[in-house]
Amino acid sequence: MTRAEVEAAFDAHSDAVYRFAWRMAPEAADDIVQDVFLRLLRGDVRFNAARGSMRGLLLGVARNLALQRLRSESRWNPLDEEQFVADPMPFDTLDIGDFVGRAVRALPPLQREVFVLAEYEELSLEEISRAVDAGVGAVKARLHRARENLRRMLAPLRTSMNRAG
Amino acid sequence: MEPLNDNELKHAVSSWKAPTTPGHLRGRIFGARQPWWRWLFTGTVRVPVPVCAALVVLVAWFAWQRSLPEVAGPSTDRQGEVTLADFQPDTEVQVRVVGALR
Repeated sequence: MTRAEVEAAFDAHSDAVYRFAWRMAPEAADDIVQDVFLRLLRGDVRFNAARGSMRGLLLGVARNLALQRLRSESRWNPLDEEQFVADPMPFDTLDIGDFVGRAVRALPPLQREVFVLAEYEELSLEEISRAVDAGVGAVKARLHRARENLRRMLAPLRTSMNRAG
Repeated sequence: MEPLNDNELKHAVSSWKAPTTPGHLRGRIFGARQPWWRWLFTGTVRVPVPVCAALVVLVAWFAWQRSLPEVAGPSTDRQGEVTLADFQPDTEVQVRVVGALR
């Protein structure tokens, strides 16, 4: 890709990549976005329209970088994913967004990434499956587990939401 | 405690907003814009290895050709041509007999 094409991709998709990186690893979001577009600029990552959208490709690269970082910081063990069952979180803040953010970030990374890609970036199951390099069935299962966990973790919000109407 | 239902979850999830890309990131990735002539001093050109190898072979062949001694070919100039244009008869004829007449 030429420099102009990469700049155009940055203008079109950097917000989506940044949002995703920030939700996955907030302290590393800047570095992840920088890495994603530098890889594109150097030709380490190649876009092939037949294999999905540019946005999906960039989110997939960002996802790999975020997981690498979590793994290197020993904050992620794939074996813990299956056993994770969340309890309701104490609602100790006035900001619902902040509370939801803490709950989403408490999800295991493989559940968190599919949830973020589906709910916030509105990717289809097929696009998510390509981005996270997993079958559609596995994506569906992770998404289901993520939603179930969040329903329980965010349960204390009900009273607050009912009060707000 | 009763878990949230689908609508409640959807509503709650939408309240978590993410920031947009910080402005400084573009500069970190693409650098500051430079005038075009700066490229003449700092620019790089990516050349595929086969093209580079072909150029090296070509330059070596030219250098080898130039180092060979020149072989004189058939002359095409008119310098060696024999003409009668400048022919002058001898003005002072000296006759010398070298053999006796019989």
